Amino acid sequence: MPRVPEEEYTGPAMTAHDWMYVRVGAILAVLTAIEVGLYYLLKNGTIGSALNVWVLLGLAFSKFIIVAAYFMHLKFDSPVFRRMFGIGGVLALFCYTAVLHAFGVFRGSGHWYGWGAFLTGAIVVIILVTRKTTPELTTGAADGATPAH
Amino acid sequence: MTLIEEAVAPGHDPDHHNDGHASDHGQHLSHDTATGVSNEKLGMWVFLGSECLLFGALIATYLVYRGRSINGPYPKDIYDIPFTSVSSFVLLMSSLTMVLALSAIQRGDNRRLRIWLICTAMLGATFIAGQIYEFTSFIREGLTIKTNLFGSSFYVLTGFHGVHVTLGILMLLSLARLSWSGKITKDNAEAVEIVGLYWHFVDVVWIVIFTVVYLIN
Repeated sequence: MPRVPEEEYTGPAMTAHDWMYVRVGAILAVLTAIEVGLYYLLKNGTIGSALNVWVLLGLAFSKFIIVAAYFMHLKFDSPVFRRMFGIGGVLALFCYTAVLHAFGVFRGSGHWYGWGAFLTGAIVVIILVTRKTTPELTTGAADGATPAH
Repeated sequence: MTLIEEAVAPGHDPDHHNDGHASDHGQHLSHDTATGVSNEKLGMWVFLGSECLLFGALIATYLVYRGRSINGPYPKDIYDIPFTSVSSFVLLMSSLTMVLALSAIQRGDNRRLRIWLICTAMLGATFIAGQIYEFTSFIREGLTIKTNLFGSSFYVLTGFHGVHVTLGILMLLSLARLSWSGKITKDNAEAVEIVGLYWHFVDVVWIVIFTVVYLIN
């Protein structure tokens, strides 16, 4: 494929929004480190397993939400996209919690365990998809470059 | 002309989603569609919503079969958590480079778009290389897809995810090639955004798999 000469870009290499993404990436890295640390605490028996499972699930859910909100721009984008994705997420949560319940996956820990996880997740997802879009990043970037989002 | 090339071709429905730089997507630019948003992007979100159900089924299957294998090797015998943690970190960071690629093209910086796209593809390839190494070492230790319920559900789940990552890498390389030939510009940055959505989705799926499959045993 022949190379087409392109217009020279003279703006900044990294904008304020890019640095925001870098900070979000750093937060995700820290959360992953905490997850792995908790895994070893559980393995060594330093903390109780039931609590650890909940904390690990909470951390994974937080990472999921952060990536979806900032990197996938659901926090700033049209609510229509959030609803479309949310429908799939809630359906998956509901459908597979029922499947896991039917197969007795939650049997050892009481039925509330699985349904509690489902209800918590579903409520959080519903709140997130019905929230209004955050308007902060919809105006121009302070550094004069084209705003990323 | 391939589907991606058609989507980014300068003459491709310019009034439809090129009504301003893509950076304005946070302002819900009014598109000339029934929903008021870009059909291509909406289509990708619907697809990703359906993918939640696909991966939900695979993860649920793994959970249903967990602890029901009557012969080894079992997860605790073969998982290499430090190695998988590094792989997870690599995939997580590829999401960062992807969003930086999108940001670059939205301000018209084609050179950095290519740099970040290649970085993302390289990080994705590193993840896949790690997965191939992991699968190979598991097979050496006696765990194949036919060994037990754990092997079947584990390989199907992580294999499906690996296929998604591989497809993502191909899409990223296609975008880099199109950018090189001048077919990706600030005005059709939505093509990068749509591929980016897919890439971030495979990342969020791995976030769940890493926790549920590897860390919670």
